[in-house]
Amino acid sequence: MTPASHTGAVTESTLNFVDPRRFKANTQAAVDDPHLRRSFRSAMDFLQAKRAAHFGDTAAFETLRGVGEAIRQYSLSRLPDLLERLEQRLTERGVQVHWASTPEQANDIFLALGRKHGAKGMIKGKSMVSEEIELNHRMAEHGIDCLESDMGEYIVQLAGERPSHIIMPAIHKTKQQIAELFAQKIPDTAYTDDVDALIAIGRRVLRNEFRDATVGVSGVNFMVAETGSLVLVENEGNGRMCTTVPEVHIAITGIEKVVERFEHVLPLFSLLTRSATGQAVTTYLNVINGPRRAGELDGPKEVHLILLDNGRSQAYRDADFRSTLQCIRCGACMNHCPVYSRIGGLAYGTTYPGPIGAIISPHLLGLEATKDLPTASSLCGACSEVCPVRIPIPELLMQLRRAAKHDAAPGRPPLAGQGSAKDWKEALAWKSWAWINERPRLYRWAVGIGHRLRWLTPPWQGGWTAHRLPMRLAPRGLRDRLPGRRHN
Amino acid sequence: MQIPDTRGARSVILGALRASAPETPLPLPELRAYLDGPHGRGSVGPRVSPSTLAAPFETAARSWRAEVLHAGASDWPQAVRQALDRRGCQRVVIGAASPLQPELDAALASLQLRRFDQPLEQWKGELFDAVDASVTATAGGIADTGTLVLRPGTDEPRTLSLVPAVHIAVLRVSTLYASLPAALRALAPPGDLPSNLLLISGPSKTADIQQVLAYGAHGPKELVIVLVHDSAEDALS
Repeated sequence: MTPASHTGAVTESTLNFVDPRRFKANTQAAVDDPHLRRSFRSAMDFLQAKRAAHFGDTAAFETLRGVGEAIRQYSLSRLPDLLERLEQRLTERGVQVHWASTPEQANDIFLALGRKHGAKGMIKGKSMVSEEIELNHRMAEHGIDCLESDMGEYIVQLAGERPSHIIMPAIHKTKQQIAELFAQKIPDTAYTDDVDALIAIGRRVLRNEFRDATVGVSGVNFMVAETGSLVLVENEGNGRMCTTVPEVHIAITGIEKVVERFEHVLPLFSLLTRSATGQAVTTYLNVINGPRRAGELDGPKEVHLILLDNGRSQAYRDADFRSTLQCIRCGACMNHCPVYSRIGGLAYGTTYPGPIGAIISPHLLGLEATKDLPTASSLCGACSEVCPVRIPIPELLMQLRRAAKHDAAPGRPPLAGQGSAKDWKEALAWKSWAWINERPRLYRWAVGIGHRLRWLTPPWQGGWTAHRLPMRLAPRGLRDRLPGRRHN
Repeated sequence: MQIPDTRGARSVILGALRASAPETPLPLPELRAYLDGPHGRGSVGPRVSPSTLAAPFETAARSWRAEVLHAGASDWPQAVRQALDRRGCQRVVIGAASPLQPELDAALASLQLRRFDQPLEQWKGELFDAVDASVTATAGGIADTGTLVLRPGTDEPRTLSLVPAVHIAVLRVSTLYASLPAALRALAPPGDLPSNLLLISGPSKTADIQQVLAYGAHGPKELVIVLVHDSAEDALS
């Protein structure tokens, strides 16, 4: 796919296999697509306004996020203990706990559980971690069809795309595009771009699937170690369907999502819903404390939890990068990011787009594949200003930029893909710059030559002149213009 | 195919985390600022009088597009019946051991009343496709956010508040709490959690298509809360 020949193609299924290595090209395609620009601009304005309505009182917000930050940092400081405690409590409650270091291991568990129950398909609630392991794709290779049931995810799956936002997956599509998609892909469906009618169509199709599925899959928003609880936050009810109606419920989540006590969930829930969609609460808070108990007439007979590492322990290793794991996946950082709001989520080519994606993806996928992502920021700091758990995103972006260009500091283990953006020409240029700066006479002489030869400046200067006038030295240098300071 | 033994991955993950975890964990976080804040009312110190909470509860619940009906301690079954009749709901399901019995039975007598008395898998099709509404009790309500607290279990299964298109919930004013932490402290203490604890605020909804809010995404399209003014203090006011 070349960006120039595909104006407007970013919303098509050609982006199905967007690669973060092609980030710059993807970005160009995205900014050239007026539909996508409009969709994102209006969605971001909407989400920003909704959030602002709740956090108008800055002092109250600061207090609440101070609590949220403290809870997440405390939980991470005890992470291995909490995971062991969680496993113990869940096991006592009848939940089967599985561990996976890699996406492959997680998929093997899904596959084995699916086969054990003779499942031809799985019905899925929203789970970004299942996107991370490419569950749908992997299960399809083995003849198991995974069906997304969150409305946005369902739309994106029908279109053969990926979610472009972690909270609102189909944010990049217009209702007309969705209307066409439904008319085309769902049997006996006439074109309608009435949103209520479209939702009713999705409801009709998916209810049959909830009713008939053997295995339901979900993500988890919070896990509570002391009580052995899995907490799911949602508006639609599909999460409840997937975790309640099928006989088997398989939950998957990252190892970082655990807190110690049930009371720790409440401020985080409050921060999550207000930051994500500007709601005081979501329609449902679904606290799962195990499978169907004796005498109960519904609920899954088996509940499984898969705890995925996939690079999180690398972030955990470093006291600074560890704060990446404080994230509660509200999406506020992307909603306020001037880069994300212009290029949308698909261009990143990663499960998690936007500022949080730029700081978590290097740990999940390695810096070699993701080295461009930390550069997709003006370091304006809007992301860290709205982050409900105060992740210092700009600082982490800077550290990742450094890690992409340099070897690890002595005594510190390198990140996966450390130094993969190293460029000998750039390194040489900086080295020369440093060298000449240490030699004032030589520096003055060289700069003087530069000013005199300014007419030789090439009019074409690569990426710079694609959007700007060429850089040229001034006729006289700063030193010459400040006569009083001529001799230092 | 064998379910993979993941103890190897477990020790790798926990080993890596232990090797880099701080030697001394951080101190337990202080929640006081949250509990004393606007969304923690009544969670520390004395309980806020429930009768003062009916009005704020109603306002908040309506903001989620729940319908709120007021009823007395003895006439609430009629309010339930009227809500059903207004929607033309004939086929109604209640928990086999619903705490709303026996009062509710008489009021629903002439409808097609179905009791949830066998495992879901034996009548899934009927529950999904041949039921108009459900009626459940609630463990309590949260005035700050207009939220219902449900503790489904052997008497009232989980799917009662999820699958039928209309959910009618009976909420007693005496079980209202000011805030989320206040309610959960009383209704779901850590030592007594049901297999599934639910907080419900309004009918199911989505804004996944162009941020346009649509109700009835997958769960109930309508939530009707019958607010029963049951406390003596409340009856006087």
